[in-house]
Amino acid sequence: MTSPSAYGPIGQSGLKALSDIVGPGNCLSQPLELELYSYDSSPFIHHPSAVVIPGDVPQMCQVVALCRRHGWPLTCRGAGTSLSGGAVARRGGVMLSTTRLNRVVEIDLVEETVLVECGLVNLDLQNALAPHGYMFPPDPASQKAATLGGNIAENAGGIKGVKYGITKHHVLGLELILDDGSLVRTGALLQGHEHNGPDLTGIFLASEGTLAVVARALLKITPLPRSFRTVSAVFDDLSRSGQAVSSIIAAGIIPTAMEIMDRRLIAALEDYLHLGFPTDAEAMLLVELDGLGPELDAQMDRIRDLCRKAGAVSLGQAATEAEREKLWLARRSGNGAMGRIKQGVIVQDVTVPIERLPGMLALVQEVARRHDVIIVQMAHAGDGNLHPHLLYAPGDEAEYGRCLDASGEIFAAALKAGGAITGEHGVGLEKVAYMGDQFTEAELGFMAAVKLALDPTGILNPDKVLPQKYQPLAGQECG
Amino acid sequence: MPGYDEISRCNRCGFCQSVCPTYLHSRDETQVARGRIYLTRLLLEGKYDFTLDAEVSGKVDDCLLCGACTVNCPSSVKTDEIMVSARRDFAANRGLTLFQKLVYRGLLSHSERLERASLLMRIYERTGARNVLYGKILGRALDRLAYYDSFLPRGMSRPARAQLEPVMAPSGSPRLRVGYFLGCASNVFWSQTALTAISYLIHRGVEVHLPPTGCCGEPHRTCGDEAEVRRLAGLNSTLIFRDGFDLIATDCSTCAQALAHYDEFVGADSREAERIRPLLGKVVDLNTLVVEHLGLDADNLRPISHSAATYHDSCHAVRGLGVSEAPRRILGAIPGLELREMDGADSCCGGAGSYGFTHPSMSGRIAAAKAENIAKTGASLVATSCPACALQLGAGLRRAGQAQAVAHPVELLARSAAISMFRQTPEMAQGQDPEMEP
Ligand code: SF4
Ligand code: SF4
Repeated sequence: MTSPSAYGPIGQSGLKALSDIVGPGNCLSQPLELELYSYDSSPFIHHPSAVVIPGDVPQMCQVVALCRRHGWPLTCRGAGTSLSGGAVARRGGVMLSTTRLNRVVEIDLVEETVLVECGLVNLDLQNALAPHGYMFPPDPASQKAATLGGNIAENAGGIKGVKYGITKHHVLGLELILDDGSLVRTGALLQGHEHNGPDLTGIFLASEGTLAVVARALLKITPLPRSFRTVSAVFDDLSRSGQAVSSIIAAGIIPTAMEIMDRRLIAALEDYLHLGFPTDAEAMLLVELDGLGPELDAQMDRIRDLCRKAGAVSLGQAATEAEREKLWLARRSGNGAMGRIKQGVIVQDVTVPIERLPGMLALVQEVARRHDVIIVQMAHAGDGNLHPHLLYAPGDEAEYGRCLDASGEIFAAALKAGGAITGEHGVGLEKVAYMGDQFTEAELGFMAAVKLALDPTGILNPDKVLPQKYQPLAGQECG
Repeated sequence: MPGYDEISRCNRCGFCQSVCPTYLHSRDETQVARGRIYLTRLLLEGKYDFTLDAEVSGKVDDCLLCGACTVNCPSSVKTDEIMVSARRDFAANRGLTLFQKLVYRGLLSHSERLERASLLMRIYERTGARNVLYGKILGRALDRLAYYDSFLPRGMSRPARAQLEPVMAPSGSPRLRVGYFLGCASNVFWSQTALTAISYLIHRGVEVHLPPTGCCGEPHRTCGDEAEVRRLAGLNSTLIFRDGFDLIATDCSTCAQALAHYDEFVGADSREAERIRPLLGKVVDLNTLVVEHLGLDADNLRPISHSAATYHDSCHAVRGLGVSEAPRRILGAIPGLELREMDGADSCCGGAGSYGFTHPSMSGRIAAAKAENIAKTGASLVATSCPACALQLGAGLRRAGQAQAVAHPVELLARSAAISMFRQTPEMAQGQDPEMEP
């Protein structure tokens, strides 16, 4: 090696050691195989040097310990659906795929908990819980593919976030693999539910695999709602849909979900699913309530009223369960359907205080015009969580550059409005540069101290979340 | 190669992971539509040279072409079609694999050779050679051979074509004239099914024409053998797309889907394509022919010897032709037979043409999962509308030690209607094949 590197090379003997742990078929190192683990759902591409797909927790522990011993960077990957570059191997090294740890270990209906392995797909968990009359409320749009390990690492929200909260509100305890390969438990997974000591679970939520590897998680489950009402309201102006959302929240109503979709998104989804969406509308707001039938109808009337006052030009209601499911399938398909418009996409997820939502929606439209880029807007509006999709043609460097500029302006505006640069997609590689704008020097220093304590050699998902100077290996040359 | 635009529609959302069978049975990104599209993209960008990298074409060959990703993709990326066009380019640049040359061009392209080969299979079956091979000589050492053996249907009878006539008229004046496309797998491996189905049609007043068609060309298309596709389609097209037929039917949904696209098979710009384009709408799968054009004639049905059946949707039927209701209505019409849906009924069985032979490990895993889903229903019968699925399901069930029978819905309907066979040959009467007697 001519250039000094903070990290050790893996080499043939390293590959041998890895495949001895997971079995030869589960250790990939051919160039083509590495290509297929170089991406996630974000624009970032970085190649690992080896991929391991362990079959159980002890194997995972051994892999982590080996990485620490040799100083190999370690990136965990569930479904590879990160939108911020969280699951790409920025410094090469070992990519640990959690996909084969996908078991529901135990459902406890008395305690209303479920113990899961980290690679279990969110929707597979929902399907396992539904026959018992339960759900796991966080339901990110990517739930068909995304794993619970990833949901925890990114602190995923979802469509039901307004009423039920996001992932961190439903994690009771974690089984974690520390950087030296040791297995520890936190929160309610510790024995003796009363005196568990300080609950350290929280720091691992949204830590994006930079502090430890989540092996298993004890999750709180929630009874499935008895009934639903789903209203769709059409607007001829995007910010009016935002006004409707603010006024619904201001009226003290807490819907399960409130989702805004703009004109381009409506058209793309109509093209995919043929639901009869009004393709000439500027915006559509979906509002869902759940609970008990009679009170829902009264609340629904209020919501219709508030929508009309905010300027809704027409109102509809899902008449059947099938119709309702179609509406939500549409909303969940938003990200993927962008490929129908332009194939390159940067997805943001800034949040703003709810009363600032109408202004923010309008501001993003204005930013798009000024930078001459297409920005498709959708939002988990009830949380003030916007998802502007900035589109570019792959290979068009100029357009990509304009998207980045526009992106920067949106971040700045969100922070100025008292919001945050990420609601649920994580910082990853994408937003590291903006961390200094959102957090104070002291706050970042605190995060850096935790990182240094848990990962002193900086092997865990390097370069993510914290800006360079706060990384454990700050100042050292990269490989 | 497919166009770059088509490929770059994939924005790597990963949703295909939830439906792609090869991913669900490996949990490995190198086995999912997103990965396959990404590789194709690297080929187009020139990062890899598929004329040199056997590894690339191997990855492209791992796809089942089941189409599940395509119908579930928010961007409607046609991964199955993209894989076919990549294979076409591999074949054009590097030629076919030995397997493709031997089996596709060697056997399937020539129906008489396949029929002759089937005689050997029947000899193997009837003489008890299997028992000698496994019991005494090879012991348990040759798992692989046992795997291939599991595909061979038990009690194969003579090829259907040898037992049928070119035109078979009903008694009385025919209500419909149907051109029956007898596919190669049905002819050889599912001959009882074809005979029963045709007998049923005649019984219901259909005049059945059986032109001397050969392989539909779909196996050759999936391995990129463009020239052979054209040759076969050209031969078949003039025989089966005839003005005199009210409908064109087949018991094989793979053939049905191929025929429905025969304008492309014969060459989209050709005169033949122009000629047959107005006739393509006459192609129906057997279930649809019965349900929509003949009616179920429910009053004349009686119970069969099974009380519960489950249905496996073949990819070509459910996604290729949009057929899923008709076979279920047929099963539902049989008195005393309960239709019990299995988990993942419309997920590929892993048969995918010759995939079971070229990819035994993946195909075997998928088949085992199917067998398990079938067992969970408690049904004693699996119906499906494609001989390739029937072979794969039969093999999977046999390896799992399960005893469920596999049949075409119309075959069951014929049993329920207790019709007499078109021609009661002695072998049918006795349930065995006279050719095989010593
Ligand atoms: S679902 Fe479609 S767009 Fe999404 S990753 Fe798969 S092929 Fe690509
Ligand atoms: S066609 Fe089937 S096997 Fe091939 S990528 Fe799509 S879902 Fe997977």
